[in-house]
Amino acid sequence: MSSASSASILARCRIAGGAAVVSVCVLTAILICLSPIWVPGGAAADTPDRAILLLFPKPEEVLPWAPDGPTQLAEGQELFALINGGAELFLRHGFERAAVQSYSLASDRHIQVEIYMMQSTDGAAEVFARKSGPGEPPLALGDAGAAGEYYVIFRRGRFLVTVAAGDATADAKATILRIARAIENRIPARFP
Amino acid sequence: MPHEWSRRRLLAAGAAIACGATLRGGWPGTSAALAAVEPVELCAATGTDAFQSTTKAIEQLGGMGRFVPKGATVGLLINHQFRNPGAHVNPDVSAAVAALCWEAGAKSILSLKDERFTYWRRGGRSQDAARTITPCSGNYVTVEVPRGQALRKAEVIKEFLAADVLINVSVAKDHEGTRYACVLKNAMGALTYTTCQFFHFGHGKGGWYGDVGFLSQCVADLNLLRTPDLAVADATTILTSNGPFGPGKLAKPQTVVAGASAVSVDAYCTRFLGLDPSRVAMIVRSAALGLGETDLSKVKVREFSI
Repeated sequence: MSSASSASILARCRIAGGAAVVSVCVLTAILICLSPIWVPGGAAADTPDRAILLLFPKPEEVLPWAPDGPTQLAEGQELFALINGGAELFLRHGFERAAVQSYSLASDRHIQVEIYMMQSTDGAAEVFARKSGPGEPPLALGDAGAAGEYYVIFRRGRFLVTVAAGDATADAKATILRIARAIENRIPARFP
Repeated sequence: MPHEWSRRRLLAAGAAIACGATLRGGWPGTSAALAAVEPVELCAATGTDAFQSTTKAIEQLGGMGRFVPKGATVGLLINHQFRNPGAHVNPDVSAAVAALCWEAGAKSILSLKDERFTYWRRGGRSQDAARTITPCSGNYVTVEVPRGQALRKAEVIKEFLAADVLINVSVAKDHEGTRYACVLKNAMGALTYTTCQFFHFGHGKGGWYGDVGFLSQCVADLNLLRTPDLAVADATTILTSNGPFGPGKLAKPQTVVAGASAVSVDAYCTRFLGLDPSRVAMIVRSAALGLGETDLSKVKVREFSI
């Protein structure tokens, strides 16, 4: 159960009567503690359309970087609101949904992770071919990967993933690779 | 826009003379120094400090006082939507513009777009500037575009039209549809999503970039509605592939370009992407509407390195 739905129950019980609030609070706390899955930004991943959130690494896997703000989700045409004209390429090749999460370190360093779920492996391959420009060194990641100066891009199954840092320092590059590998490993487990 | 020679402007002119003399290695009063401070129409300043490059480029236009009268309300239209490197304006460029507006005596500075992804935290000197900039109302108005050829009506953020001064702060970058995006295209940031969609689909041919000519004409028409009083283009770090969103390949011209004409600034900045302005439809169509000069031999340009 998500914290959002727990809060909803709590709200309803408050309307019902004060005595019920205490017991529901306890129940809510137990349910939250038992929750087995961390999801970024506190967003719920308990429905199929949000399962993409499960691909992001846990906070302890990206330390000392930390999630910065909520995960942004887009489905179908909503992608235009997220990446503007960049959406055309994805929609042309069968886009299903995307999730974007930022991570930060100190106040001025950031990493942005974008996970795009396509309708087919072919769609992911088409987008990958367009987005990984000529001259980018290949990277042993997923079904195909490439490394830019400050980012990595790879595809695995019907997923296309980009992990980009705001700078090209050694630690930023190491972190984006660590995040990319964490996502790569989760894809077959979550979307066999 | 006529301006009085206020004490502030005289001081600014004095500072500009000193600055020009320093740049040319001359002294105030010498012919070299005076030549250097004669205001130009477009200036490209190259250096590793984006804040300083912006400041110097605007000084060479005659200073911010030329564009921002004392007590004016300034609308800043900053391309800060995307987070990937080279896809957004360096926050230090925006911060320098804001600081100069305050120095010129602006009453208020409004951000015409919602800030996303903690934009102002990304720049070394931009956090102070952020505290002085006010979000705009968020209210949109529907207006006619009387001379518009493709765009006849637009939903635009109210302050885009209402602000006394409009400053367009954009980044030169690759664009999947138009091949190039900078000042003229950035005006779309003042529109509702519905109007932006019209730019892409209003031709009825299908596809987000189904008719780039139509899209380019809409961009030109939009700039008829209100052309910026000052155009500042960030070409410090630019996206040369996978634009407008990225991530993609980067180039680092380390240059800031400023000018009173959006068309001329865009025409100048195409070089950073290896393009010819005569091949960029939105620039050509904007010039055809009388919005500015693309032949830079007819424009007073100053280029210098810091």
